[in-house]
Amino acid sequence: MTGTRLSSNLLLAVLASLAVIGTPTWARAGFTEALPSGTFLLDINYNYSWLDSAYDNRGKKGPLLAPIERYEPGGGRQGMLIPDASVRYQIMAFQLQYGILDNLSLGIGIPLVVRTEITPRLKWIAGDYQPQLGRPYSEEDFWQWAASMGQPKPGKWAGNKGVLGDIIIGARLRWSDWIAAFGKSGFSGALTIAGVLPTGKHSDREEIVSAGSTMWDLQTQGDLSFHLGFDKVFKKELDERLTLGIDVFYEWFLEQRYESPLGTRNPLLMNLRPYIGSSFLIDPGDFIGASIQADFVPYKGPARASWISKRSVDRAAGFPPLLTVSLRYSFVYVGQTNFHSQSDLWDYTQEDRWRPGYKNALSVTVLFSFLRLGAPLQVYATYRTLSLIPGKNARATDVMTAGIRIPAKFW
Amino acid sequence: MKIWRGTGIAAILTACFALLMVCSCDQTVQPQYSQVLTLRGSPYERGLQHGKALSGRIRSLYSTLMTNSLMPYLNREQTDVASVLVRYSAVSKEGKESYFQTWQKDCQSTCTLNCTEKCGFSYLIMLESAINLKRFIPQPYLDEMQGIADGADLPFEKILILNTFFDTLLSFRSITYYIRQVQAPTLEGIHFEGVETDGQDNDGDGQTDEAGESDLTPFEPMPHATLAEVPTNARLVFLLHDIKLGIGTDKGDEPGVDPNTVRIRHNDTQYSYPLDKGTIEIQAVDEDPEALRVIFAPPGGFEPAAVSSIVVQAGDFNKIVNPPPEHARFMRDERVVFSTVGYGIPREQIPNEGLRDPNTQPPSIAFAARGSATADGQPLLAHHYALLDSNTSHKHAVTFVHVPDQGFPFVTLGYAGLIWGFSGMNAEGLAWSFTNSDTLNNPMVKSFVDDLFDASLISSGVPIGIIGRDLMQNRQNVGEAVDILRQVRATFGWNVLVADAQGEQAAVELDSNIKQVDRSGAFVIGPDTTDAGNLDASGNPLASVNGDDLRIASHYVKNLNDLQTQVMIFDLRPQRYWTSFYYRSLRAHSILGGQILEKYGKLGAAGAIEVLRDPDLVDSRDSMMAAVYLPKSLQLQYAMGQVPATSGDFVTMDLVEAFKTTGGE
Repeated sequence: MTGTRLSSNLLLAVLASLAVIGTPTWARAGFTEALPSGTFLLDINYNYSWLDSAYDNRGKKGPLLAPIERYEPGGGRQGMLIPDASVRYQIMAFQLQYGILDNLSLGIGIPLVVRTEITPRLKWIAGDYQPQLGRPYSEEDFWQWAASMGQPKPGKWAGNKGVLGDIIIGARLRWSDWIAAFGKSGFSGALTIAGVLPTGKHSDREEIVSAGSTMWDLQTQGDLSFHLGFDKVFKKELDERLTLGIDVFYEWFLEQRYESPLGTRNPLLMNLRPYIGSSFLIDPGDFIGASIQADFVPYKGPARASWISKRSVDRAAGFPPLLTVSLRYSFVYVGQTNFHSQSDLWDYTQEDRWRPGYKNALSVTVLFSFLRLGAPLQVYATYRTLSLIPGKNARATDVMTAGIRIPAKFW
Repeated sequence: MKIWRGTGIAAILTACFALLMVCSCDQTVQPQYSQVLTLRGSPYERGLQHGKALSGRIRSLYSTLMTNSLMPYLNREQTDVASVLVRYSAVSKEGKESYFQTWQKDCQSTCTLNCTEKCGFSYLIMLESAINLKRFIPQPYLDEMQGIADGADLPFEKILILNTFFDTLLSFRSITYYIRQVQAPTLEGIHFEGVETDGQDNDGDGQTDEAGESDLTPFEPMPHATLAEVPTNARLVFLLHDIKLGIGTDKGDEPGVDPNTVRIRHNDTQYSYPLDKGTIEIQAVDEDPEALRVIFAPPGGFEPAAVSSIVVQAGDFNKIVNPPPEHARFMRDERVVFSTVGYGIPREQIPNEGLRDPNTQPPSIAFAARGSATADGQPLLAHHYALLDSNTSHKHAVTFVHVPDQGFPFVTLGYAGLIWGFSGMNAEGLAWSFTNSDTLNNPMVKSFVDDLFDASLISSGVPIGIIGRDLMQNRQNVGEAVDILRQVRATFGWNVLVADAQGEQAAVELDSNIKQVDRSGAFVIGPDTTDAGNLDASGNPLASVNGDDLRIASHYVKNLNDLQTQVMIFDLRPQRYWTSFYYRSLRAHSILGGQILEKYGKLGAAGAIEVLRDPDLVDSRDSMMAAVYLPKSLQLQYAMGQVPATSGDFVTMDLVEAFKTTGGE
């Protein structure tokens, strides 16, 4: 039984393409917003992602993993396993941002994986007639056969319960503030840089289906992120009810070393160490892309003097509008992920599943801000989908996010 | 001005992003599954070069083929084997530990890594055979294995097992398959209703409608048609029988053939009972509850003046749960071929070829041609080996060019970690190839004959690959090669085909000659159709179409009684009665002959490749390698690294260049 393909494919392909928790988000929408000097913003959000399919090398949507042919030694094809896996991630993200200057903010994000659940949903297409059985292998036959070889059928996996992800630290500099012409024309530009502390957990090496909590596992953002964003606020023309933005970014992933499995729980499928070595390296494909975003303000809401605005209506009117709706489209090119072990054959089987491709992400965010009303609170919900516009060699993930933001200024 | 400065900053940053983008557009490329490796020097030095160069592939092949596939797969046979050979029992009997249990206990007490594999039943079989086979392997080859082990930083034991498992596996497979078959239903005989009064000489004995002409009991598997000129309205009555041995895993089960498992394939139409009741009728046999009579008549009768092929299969009432999945015991597919009235050709001249059957694949084949058979009169040898790919072998294929410090340089097509190959050619223009040919005339069966239930499944003799190495390194021509093949003690049944630059060619059918009676373990067949030794009982050439060609498949054509003996209740019979290769090999042999005839006088490397690529000769699942050798010009064209091997391009190698004492990889 040549099982390594099954194991590694399942292992790696369950890495869900989450989004949202990465780059620190800001008080308003747009790619260049920074917190006012001395202001804190606490953002707590809950993310639920579901992933049931992927786009292949031709851009066609199909099962998350490629079908796997199974062979009877010297006896032809037993059949085809179709691992139509389903992945669910639940993540809480805690973010704290602080405005050092009016155009420079720092942020820290702490993702906490609440639970990850992977259901293999293995399907079966019978193969060749087996004379010794008098029939082709049925799915039940196959798993009985596998069990007699010491390999149990992979079941549902649930893990990462309360497991810390990689902590993100970021800074945003709205450099355009130093160029007066930008401000006059309603343009702004900002550079955002974020990096992670490797506090996440690798997936369980002995499990066939499992997932970890690192940035590589979450596929959210790189270990180092560079974003160059521009916004255009239509102040005079539209009374600041429309902001258009563009962001180009590069997400760089750090090479990661993983320990090889020994096959203690899955002796046939995960007994990789004898030939790939005691450990292997993953050099993830970096992300390069661009986003465009439009922030609409359908309702600014009343501005009331309150303790937040120091009893000033004018100041309150400068706070974010009561309702903002943001639409964003992102194109993300994903580079080739390379594997380095003692076996170039095994490396290739892994790399084949992580070929270069791209994702097309759409998201919509609805943000309610109550600052104008005197309550230091923002509530938002985001739906982000990679399944609406086809991608290539990318997972078709959907994510729902709900969060609150609490701004505070202590001095 | 300022806004332009800002734009400039943005442009610089954007340029940096663009630069980063350029750096990450590489795409993975499949590594070469088929490699070429030139090895020079002493045996140990060549082994060391081999081990160092292919360390990763050797580990990969061992793990994916042996550890993760064959070893656990063979472990499943333990229950069946131990039901006859008690030393392999995993269960104590009357408080006494079996040999296997004691060995396993000792193994586990010292084992530190991979103990499931190393202390398992199949590892015991492989290891004990490897240690025994080592006695038959000349020291230079062991030195080469040691070099591989050192170069790859692997234990010698693993390299020894890797180099001997093939011989062990095939002997083991034959005995386990045989044990299975003796517990399954058998085809006892066939009665052709209507033949006894048709006014034809159906069996070619010169008599018409004589007593017994229609009754083929006991059933005899034949390389040609069973009967000729059968009436189109004949009914075929198959007598099936299932015995209980009183030993084995099926003891205690209800004996008899399960009618609901009966399947009959007529040409390319499949019938099964009870789905096709009427076409297939079932009758109990009053005097024998273990027997079943199956009557078959196709709708509308048989096509007149044509050849009909019938494949019959059935299972018994057993519910074998170990090894899983649960199944009955199924007999081998038995095929009979006959012609219908008006066809006009004697039955001996109608090959038992059958039709393409999606349930079976063609086995390994080889052929040689020369003189009037080839376009330029020059000799060639073509070979296609198929047995075990399991989605891994093809990724480890290697063309080894050996330039030894003693003996002839040679090339051999093999796999990482193996010092031998499945075919090859040396600088003298001697080319060789082999196919496996199932036989019970092997050392494991000898142990059973000698020690009965306490037999050991230990292989002995010179492994076939080592025989090939000796031919390549030390023999100049076919004559010398045949001399060695006559003397050697083979581990199993093999068909060897050799050809040389002088145009000589020979096929040699080997077995282990375990009874050491007045016979050799080597049966030599030449292309000369005027030599009675190369003809069958009917006077037809055994393996040649027209005198300048020879072919082999995976059954014996001359060594027809490779083993016939009785051991207690076990009737050990020649290969044609039990091996699953027999009928598909007959078919491949016949089709291959037809292909050679069609291209007679036009054969060359391109023509030979066309033959090798004939879909009826290609095992689409387990094809491993294909090659055409041109001994005169020392050219090689080979295909491997994909499944089937022939689906890829054939690579040309000039061996004159390759054998030069300097250069190469």
